[in-house]
Parts: sequence; C-alpha cells; structure tokens
Amino acid sequence: MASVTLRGVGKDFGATTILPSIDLEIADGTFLVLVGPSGCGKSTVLRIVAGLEAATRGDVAIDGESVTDKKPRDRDVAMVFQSYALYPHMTVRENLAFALRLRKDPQAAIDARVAEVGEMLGLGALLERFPRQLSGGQRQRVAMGRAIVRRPRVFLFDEPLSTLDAALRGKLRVELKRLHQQLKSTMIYVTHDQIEAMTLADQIVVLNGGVIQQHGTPDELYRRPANRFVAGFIGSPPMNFLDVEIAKDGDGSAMRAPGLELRLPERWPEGPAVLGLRPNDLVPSDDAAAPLSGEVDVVEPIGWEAHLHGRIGETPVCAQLTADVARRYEPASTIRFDIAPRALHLFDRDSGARLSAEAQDA
Amino acid sequence: MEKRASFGRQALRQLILLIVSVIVIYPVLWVVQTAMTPAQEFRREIAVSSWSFDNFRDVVSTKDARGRWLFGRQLWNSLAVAGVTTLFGIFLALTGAYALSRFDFPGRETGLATLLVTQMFPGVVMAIPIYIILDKLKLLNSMWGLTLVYSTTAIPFCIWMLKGYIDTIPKDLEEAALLDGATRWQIFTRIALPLARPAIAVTALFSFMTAWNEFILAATFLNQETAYTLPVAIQRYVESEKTAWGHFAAAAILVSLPVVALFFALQRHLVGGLTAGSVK
Ligand SMILES: Nc1ncnc2c1ncn2[C@@H]1O[C@H](COP(=O)(O)OP(=O)(O)O)[C@@H](O)[C@H]1O
Ligand SMILES: [Mg+2]
Repeated sequence: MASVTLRGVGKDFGATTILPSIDLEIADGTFLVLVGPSGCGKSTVLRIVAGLEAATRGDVAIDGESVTDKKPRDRDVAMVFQSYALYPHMTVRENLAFALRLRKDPQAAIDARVAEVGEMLGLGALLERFPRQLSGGQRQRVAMGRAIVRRPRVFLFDEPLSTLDAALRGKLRVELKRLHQQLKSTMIYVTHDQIEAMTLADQIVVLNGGVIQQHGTPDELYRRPANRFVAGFIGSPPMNFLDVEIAKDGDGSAMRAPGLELRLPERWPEGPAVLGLRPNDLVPSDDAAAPLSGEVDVVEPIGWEAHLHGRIGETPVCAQLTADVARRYEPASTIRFDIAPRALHLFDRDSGARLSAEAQDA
Repeated sequence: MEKRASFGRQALRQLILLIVSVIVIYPVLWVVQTAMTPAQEFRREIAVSSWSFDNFRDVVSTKDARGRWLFGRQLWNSLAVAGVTTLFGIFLALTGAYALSRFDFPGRETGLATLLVTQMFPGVVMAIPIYIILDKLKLLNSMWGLTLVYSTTAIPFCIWMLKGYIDTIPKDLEEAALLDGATRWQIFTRIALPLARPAIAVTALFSFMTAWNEFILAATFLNQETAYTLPVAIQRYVESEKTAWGHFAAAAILVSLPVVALFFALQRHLVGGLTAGSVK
C-alpha cells in the first residue's frame, strides 16, 4: 500500500510532446481512474509510473520516495495489461508463480499463495491449463491474479476489460470493485470508458490531449464538470450543448437561443456562451411558458426509460424520459421542457471553461 | 460444399500430379539405383538388376595411404564443422537478433542493412580474400578455420530470420516479466527463448545444412585428405578420366542421412501458434 505522487511529469516522443506536465497526488488506498479518449496519453502516464517508459521531465514518487530512476522491478508495482500478456508457454500456476519464483520465495510459500489467489479469483480448477485453453474472461482473471500474488504496493490497470464483451465486462467490473474493497491497495486504472470510470473510481482524473482536465470524485465530475470537455465526456447519454447569448436583465441575466428563453436571477457574464443540459435534466412540461421548446424527431424506448431525440432550434438534443412519458410524444410534434436552475451548466464559448454566476452583491 | 469435380477434370489433375511426381522422384531413384549397382558405370534408365550394398561398404571403409580409417575421419570433420557452426551461429545469432529486435541503439539500422548486404555476394567471390585471411591466421586445413568461415556466412541470415520471428513475440510479455521482477537476461532465457523455439529449430537446420553441404570453400581451403569434409571427399569419386558413379552415389546418400535425421529430430519444434492465448 502506498501513495503515488507525480510532479511535473512530462513525456516527449521525439519532437512531439505527448504529456506537457502532469501533477497528481494519489492517496494510499485510492482507486483512481484515469479516463480520456483514445490517444490522450493515459497509457503513457501509467507506463511512466510503472517504469516501462522514462519520463522526459518531472518526478514520480511512491510513498514519498522518488522512483524516477528506479527500474520497474525495484518499484514494487504490478500492472495488468490490456492484452493480458500471459506467458503462453507456462500454465496458469506457473504464470501466477513466476514473480514469486524470481524473487526466490520458498516453494511452500509460493504454493500456498498461488492456491490462495487462485481461490480468490475462482481459478482453482484451471491452474494446470495453458493460457490458450482459457476463455477471455478467465485469461483476464489470470492476468489480475498475477498482479495480486505479489502483494505490490501499487496496482496499475491498462484498460483491462476493453477486449471483453459487454456482459463479461460488467461482471468483471463488479469483481474488480470487490477486489479493491478486499485488498484496499492503491490502484490506478486507465480506461476510455466513462461508465467504467464512474462505477469503479474513488477519484477520477479526466485527461485530454495529455492535459488533466479535472480531478475529483465521480460525483463532483458529474455535478460540476470543470469544462465543456469533461461535461461532454462524463455522463451517458452525453450532455446536450446549446449555443446561447446572455444579456443583462434587471438584477439578473436573460439567456436566449432559438427555442430557448430563460431568466436567471443571478448575474452571469454577458455575451456568447454554451449551455450544457444533461438528458435526464430535461423535464417535459405542458406549460406554454416553459423555457425550452423543440421538435420531436425519434423516440427510442429502452425498457423502462426512453431516449427522445429532437431539435431545439437547429441543435439536436437528447432527453432521457421514462417510457410512459415518452410515449405521449409523436414524431414531428412540439415538446416543451422545464429545467431546474441547478441543472444548468454554462461554459465559455471559446475556452470551454465553466462559467460561474457573479457573486450576489454583498 | 464444393461440387465434386467431373471425372475428366479429376483424371487430368491426377495425371499432372503423376508427371510432376515422376520428375521429382527420378533423380532420387537414379542415385539410389546407381549406388546399389556394383558396376561403376553411368546409366540413364532405371532398371532393376542385381542390387548390392558393396558401394556403401567401399565408401565407408575408405582408408588413407597409411591405412587409417579415412571416411571416419572425414565424417568427424564434417560433423564437427557443422555442429560447431550451428552452436556458435545460434548463440551469436540469437543474442544478436534479440538485441536488434528489442533495443534501440546507434547503428542498429545500419547494422541490419549491412548484414543484408553481406548476403548479396556469392560465397565464391569471397573465396580468395578469405583464403588470404585464413593463410595469415594459419587456419588453412583446419576445422576451426572452416567453422569460422561458415559461421560468418550463416550468422547474418540467421540473425535476420530470428529477428523477424522475435519481432512477432509481443513486447507486452516482456514488459510483464520486467514488472514481475525479471532481469533482461531472465526475460531472454525464460520468455523469449522458449517462444522462439520454432525459429531456433529452423535456424539450426539452416546453419547445419550450410556447413554440412558446402563444397566450394571447403575445396579451396582444404588440401589434405585428412582435413576434408565429406562433400570434398565425395568429389574424389568424380575424376575427369574415370568416374566411380556407384561410389559417388552411395557417398551422396550417406552424406544426406544426417541432415534427414536432424530434420526429423527438429521437426517437433516446428509448430506454429506458440504465443496463442498470451495476448488477445
Ligand atoms: N513509443 C511511442 N513513440 C511515439 N509515439 C508514441 C509512443 N507511444 C505512444 N505514442 C503516442 O502517444 C500518444 C498517447 O499514447 P497512449 O498513452 O498510448 O494513449 P492512450 O493510452 O490514452 O490511448 C499517442 O498519440 C501515441 O501515438
Ligand atoms: Mg492506451
């Protein structure tokens, strides 16, 4: 168990800067998920922590002790690869025992530990099989087992579930969460799947273009995304964005766009902005004075809920409704929505940064 | 399901196969027949006559001027040269190929290209310069000299072969081992080597055959009967005024046996899919 600290960690591949500078503080026992689109540098961060890639600048510390110049094997971290990376010429037992044998643990201790971990992961009956004789889910469990046997200070996971089908992914996600509760180790988990991030994480770091966009709990990221990128990345279906104009209106502000007319009691920065609305924050209303009005395009029922796709002005939007409510709306009909003031997310049109209302006069 | 071919097409197919088979098998049959015929004459047709193993006995029991067993000596020369070339070549080619596949170092690209260029010259072209070198090193008529020459010919090719194969072994495996606490050498011996087995087998076979069958260089560098390798020895039976065809053919068969044996010994390593199941 250990804390992990990254200070100004950067990486260039040749002349290309992949990571300008990452600062990150991960407390002991945290399940931290690093999430971001493909190619944003997640794996690179993980590999720098593992020591598989040398940082171009900055410092990595585990438990307050710098490991920047240490070899992977001296860092006491374990990594589960996206590709599993099982040793194909070794049985499951040999795969699990490999690290223990390398560090010359007594044979009896190795046997006991392998049996224990095999039991924990439900691999008991598979110990004598070779990786090629296992299913995808079993292989992934072996890969995790190989990390667990060593009791490393830090676990690193690089998209460990991405090659599995959806059903299995859901199952292993739950197992992983249970595993973390059981082991209470520090885990850094990389994924491009925000649902995985939301369900697993104590802390989420959203990465884009090698830059940390936001670091917080899943709840914080969902409720108060720091910028438009995070707002659009976290949440499913994704947040709707409308270009709006904000003008002064008495003591408060007025927000306008085609199909939108909304008075806000607080004073917001005037000028162009982007309004973000989560699909489940759009509440259908029969009130002719409801602030949003649009046209229904397609209704997608999904069991107890339905996704209503429509347009406000020219902007496509999605509303998440219960199936009963959605049934009332025909394609091409008009729909009005109410929105709670606290459901509004406003972003700067250019920088994408979150806007805040000016403080009420003190 | 594919429709069954008509009778006419089937017959044509079989006929073509038959003709090709005959063309392929004829030389082998000819050599076998010639070896089994006591008379040392050249015959075109293959016909069963009185067969015997006399030629084989004659070849195997060849003695030198002082009555020592020459064939045994030459067989040992061949085995030693080919064996040492193989072991030496595999060791150097494996370590070299691994480094070229896994490490980035100055001269890597140039080195690889240079290795390829050396393969473009036929061995004969280099015979004279190599002769001079061996002469200076006092390695003419020596097993070590020949081994050195064969190794330098075989290693570049082996490096390319092995590198090509090692390139296909997922890097993730080695990184996993690195995190599991393995040193570079442990990764090489415990991960890379077992997985490169098929390529090592092919390379071993290639090195062995290169050394075992080589004639021109051996004939250039060896001029003492006791230093001959078998290909040079065989040539003795084909002399300009009279050729002992029977002995020649028998010797040819004998010389090819170890290669066949080696092939069967290595065959079980020539399997695909060794990395199956390791990475998705
Ligand atoms: N060894 C490398 N050489 C050059 N570019 C690389 C190398 N490894 C990764 N990259 C580049 O760095 C970027 C980030 O890669 P990566 O960390 O793997 O992204 P992610 O895991 O978020 O998908 C990508 O654009 C990738 O092409
Ligand atoms: Mg990645």
